[in-house]
Amino acid sequence: MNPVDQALSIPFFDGLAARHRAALASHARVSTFLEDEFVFRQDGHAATFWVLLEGRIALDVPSPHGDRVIATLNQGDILGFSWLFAPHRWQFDARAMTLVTAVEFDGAAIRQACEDDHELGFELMRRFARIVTSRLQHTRIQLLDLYA
Amino acid sequence: MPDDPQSMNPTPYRVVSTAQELEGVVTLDLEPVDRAIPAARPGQFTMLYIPGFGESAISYSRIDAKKITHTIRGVGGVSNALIAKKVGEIIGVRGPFGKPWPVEIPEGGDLLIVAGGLGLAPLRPVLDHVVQHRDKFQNISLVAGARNPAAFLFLDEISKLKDLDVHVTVDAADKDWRGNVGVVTSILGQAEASCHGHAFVCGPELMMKFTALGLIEQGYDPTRIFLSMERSMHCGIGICGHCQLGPYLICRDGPVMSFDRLKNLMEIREL
Repeated sequence: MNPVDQALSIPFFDGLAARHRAALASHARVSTFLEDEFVFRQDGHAATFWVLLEGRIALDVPSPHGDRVIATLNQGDILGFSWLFAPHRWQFDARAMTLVTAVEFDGAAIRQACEDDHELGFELMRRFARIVTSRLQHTRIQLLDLYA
Repeated sequence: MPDDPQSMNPTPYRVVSTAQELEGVVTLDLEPVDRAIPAARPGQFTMLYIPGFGESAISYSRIDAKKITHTIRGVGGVSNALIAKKVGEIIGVRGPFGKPWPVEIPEGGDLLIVAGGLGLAPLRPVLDHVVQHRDKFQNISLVAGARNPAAFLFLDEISKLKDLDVHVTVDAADKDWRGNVGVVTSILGQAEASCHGHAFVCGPELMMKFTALGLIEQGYDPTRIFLSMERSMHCGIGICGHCQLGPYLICRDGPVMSFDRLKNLMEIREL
């Protein structure tokens, strides 16, 4: 299986029509990041998302008192949803904790494809909303400071 | 009523070694001064007694034929007195009490072990058991979480576990930490153990509740999810009622209980 097909085989894309898969695949390419290389920086223009095929990514909050890692993403996870929502700015730094192989999707092109085909837009919005709500729920649990 | 009339009488044990695990967390190894209490099973607890301070219920963190091992966090008068004990000093011990982890039930299938914070201590005898009887199980996964790397109990030990699928995470970390960051529920999906097996969960109550709900979402049957409950235990033998949780006395009916019996009780504010 080639890397793009591998990325499109994760549960996130389950149920997506063949023509929508083809549309996404036409805007995808493989990318790699070395350990400690930044995938994106806070406040940067968000125009991409990634499906991680291998390795681990840290989401960091830059701070003068030392950067804090607030979450990590692993194989099969989606990195990045700010490309979909205005103002299209990254909220955190994303840093490769290991050598990372990912499939990168061109968010600007896919946003345009969503404008042209609202069904694709709905399917993607529904899937990304599930990621956002899941991460919100994990953050809420994190705020409970379970081990206090 | 207790089966053993001696169960209310502490048996003297001598501290034979101490180990500082984390700040305010100490492991004590105890050997009997004269006679030993009955053998324990993973998940059971003893009442540790210091004259002038009182008793505290502490789970076994390792089970050995000759000595008993407890890992204790100093949070009150008795537990702080316990962690201050030195080698050679005497402690009173009653037990073992309570329902153990049902370690035989998952045999032949998968087992997921989920630990949060000091919840790893009561699960360590389970880890010892499954490592010793590895061939009786299919996939065994350990998912463990802590507040930060400095608060991770037995981290070196679990990193060296062989033939087990181990995943660790912390709620917050600096850039030196190379592992997962996020609540323990966020990495449950990384476990190789399938939802058709059993899950043993131990940690703070909220952590156990969210973990159990996360496991049900993955397809686990609530009757196959076991939690170790903590309540203020005094007698240890189901008489005094201090550890009551709804219809259950945790010292007698627990501490290990399946989630289907606990789910509704864990949502009642007054309990």
